[in-house]
Amino acid sequence: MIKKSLFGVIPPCFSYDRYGEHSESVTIQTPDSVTLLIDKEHDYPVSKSILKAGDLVIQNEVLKINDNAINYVVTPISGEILEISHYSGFYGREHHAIKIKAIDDGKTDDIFAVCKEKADLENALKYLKGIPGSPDFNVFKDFNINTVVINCADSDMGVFTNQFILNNSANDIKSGIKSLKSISGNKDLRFILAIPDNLMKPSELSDFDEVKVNQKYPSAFPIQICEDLLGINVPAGTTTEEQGVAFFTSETAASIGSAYIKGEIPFEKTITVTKKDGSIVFVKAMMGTPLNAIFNELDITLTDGDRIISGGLMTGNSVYSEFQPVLADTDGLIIQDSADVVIASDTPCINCGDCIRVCPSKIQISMLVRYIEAGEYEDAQDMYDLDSCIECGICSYVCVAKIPLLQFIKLAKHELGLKELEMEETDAE
Amino acid sequence: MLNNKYIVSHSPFIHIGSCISNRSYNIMAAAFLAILPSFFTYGAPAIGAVCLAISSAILWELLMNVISKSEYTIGDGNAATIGIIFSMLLPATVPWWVVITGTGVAVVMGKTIYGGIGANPFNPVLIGYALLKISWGDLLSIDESLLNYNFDYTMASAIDALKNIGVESVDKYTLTNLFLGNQAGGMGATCGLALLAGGLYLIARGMIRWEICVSFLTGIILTSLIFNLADPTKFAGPMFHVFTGFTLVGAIFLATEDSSSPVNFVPMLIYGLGCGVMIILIRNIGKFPDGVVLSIIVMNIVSPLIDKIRTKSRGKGSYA
Ligand code: SF4
Ligand code: SF4
Repeated sequence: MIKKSLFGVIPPCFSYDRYGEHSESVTIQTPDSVTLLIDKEHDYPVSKSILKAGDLVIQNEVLKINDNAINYVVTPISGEILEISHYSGFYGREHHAIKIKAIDDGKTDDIFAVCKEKADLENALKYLKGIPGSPDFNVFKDFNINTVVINCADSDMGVFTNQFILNNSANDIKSGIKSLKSISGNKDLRFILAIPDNLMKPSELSDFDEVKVNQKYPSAFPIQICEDLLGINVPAGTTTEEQGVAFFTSETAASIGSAYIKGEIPFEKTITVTKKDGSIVFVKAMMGTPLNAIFNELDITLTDGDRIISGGLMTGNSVYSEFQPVLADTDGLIIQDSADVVIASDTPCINCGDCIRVCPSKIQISMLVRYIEAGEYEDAQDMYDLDSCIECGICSYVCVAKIPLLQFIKLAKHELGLKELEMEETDAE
Repeated sequence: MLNNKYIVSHSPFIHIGSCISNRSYNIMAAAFLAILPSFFTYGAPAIGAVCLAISSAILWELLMNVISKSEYTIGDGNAATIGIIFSMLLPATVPWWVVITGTGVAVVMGKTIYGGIGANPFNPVLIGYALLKISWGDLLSIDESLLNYNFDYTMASAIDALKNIGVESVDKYTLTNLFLGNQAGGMGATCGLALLAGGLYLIARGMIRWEICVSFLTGIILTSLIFNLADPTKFAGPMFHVFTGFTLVGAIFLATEDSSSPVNFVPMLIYGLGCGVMIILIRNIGKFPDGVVLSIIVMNIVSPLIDKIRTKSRGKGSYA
């Protein structure tokens, strides 16, 4: 983990934990019921949904909330819909939550089987949007992508899922790259593997170029890989895709690969689970599985005041219930004992400058946070480089005043995003 | 396990473990190290004055917390730090009411009225000291206060002697004496050895910003060297300036105050250098004997302005 050296003048040495080349994983049995999320579109009321409680669904069926909807979810099991409810995600994102009780009738819908070995953008968009890693195939439509980076380094701390996949599913990654090439429709598409510098590139992938990702946190964020390792500048406020570089994690690539080899939609998510004592277990669970099924299987007991983190230690999200489902982007699950929970404070910034020393984006956070605290989001963006932030969270980690800096930054970006949306809407009218 | 309540909060979920009170206590420890010699030199009056300064500063802040109905902030140790640093500048015999008034001005007018920790544009200690100096300058004067003490070294304040008598007075002070604290001065301002040790400790622990400290002393040394080389019969050498007056207290404890100093690299250097150069200008050609307090206050004023000089953040380069 990360430790502060006694000598504070040397910036603390933050490095990603080394992944110990595990190859074992625990597979969680198919649960009695799964919960699937569909992103909400517009204001379509649940009551008008064509899906109803009591409906029977079969494995691999594409579920949509109405016929015209773009968003869908593919059910991993056959069963009966128990309920459809509203689900609020992070930062105002809204979803429909569909709870399905498993009925083992052996039926399965093999619509995807015809796509076997025939990867193209259309069938990828139609069936594979929700596979582990939740790939965004639209990048090939919306941007002029010339380089695809398969990120085999996990950007956050305490998550090793992508490294695990690199070590254990190199063949799937290889065919995933092939499929991605035909999905993109671009024959000259360049593929680059971003591999942590303590890992070796598996021999299966020797045909592809690689870049080595530093152990120092943060190094594995897409923008950093793009700027530091590929030498492609990403102006503040723009995305790597606008510069022609798309990112897929190794898990996504492996899922795509296995989908087109087998002709089956993959539902199995690999999760790095960190127990309270810090030990790590890799778990394979079906998406939609409630988290408590994993905890039961691993004998993890939770008590009041503990924290369940979905994702990594620096940028993950804490969840409020152990019945939340495993999602396509649940790369890590960390259980923190109540004794280890650090709570942010509302002390003002004392201007110590520690955050500025560590920020990889060279932002003057002490000033930025003053503007954000005052609600001056535009000024924060114009004068203090809100857009340059890559949301690595290391500023909050070192802040002497324990200010939730990353939260402030995300809040400001969220609010600005809402304002922009509002303006677009009024313009449209 | 069904009805457990989990803690939901925002990432990151780990923290380096530093906190403001720890920072304050480290600074206080370093300050204490510098004050310790004066306890042996001046005995009970010094101990009394230091304790009074610390406790009164805390009480002033508590009072302000109560009046403004805000959260009690004395736990962060900042008030106590103001108190102890303030006491470093005072002569041991300073009357009790001067101490209390000084810490009052420092804490109330220097800090809490601006909104408390992190919001003060000036170093609170300097505000307190400057006001006292204007009001009761005699009581803070080293020479007048320490009249009744006599040790086997020159008892006149070195920096005042330089101004009043001229550079020939410098010969009476050996560098070793100045370095070891065998000089008259503020309670925490005399022993160069202890001050430097405390300063190095704070720098090593990252409690103060070394850039300010180093550039401050560089400013002092370079400027005084230029003066000294130009006319050694009129101006004292650099080492004399470093070890007399409030130079080291200024470099280590006063200029480095978090809120009133810049945080970007180049601005920190400019700020420190500015303080150092101005101090020597004041000492050599200005009216006041010392100038540390005034120079730092002036640099505090421009600090927000120079802090605008900074490297371009990510993605804002010329290609953007
Ligand atoms: S502002 Fe904070 S979260 Fe953003 S890049 Fe800098 S250190 Fe990371
Ligand atoms: S680390 Fe926290 S207290 Fe220090 S300057 Fe940054 S925001 Fe302010």
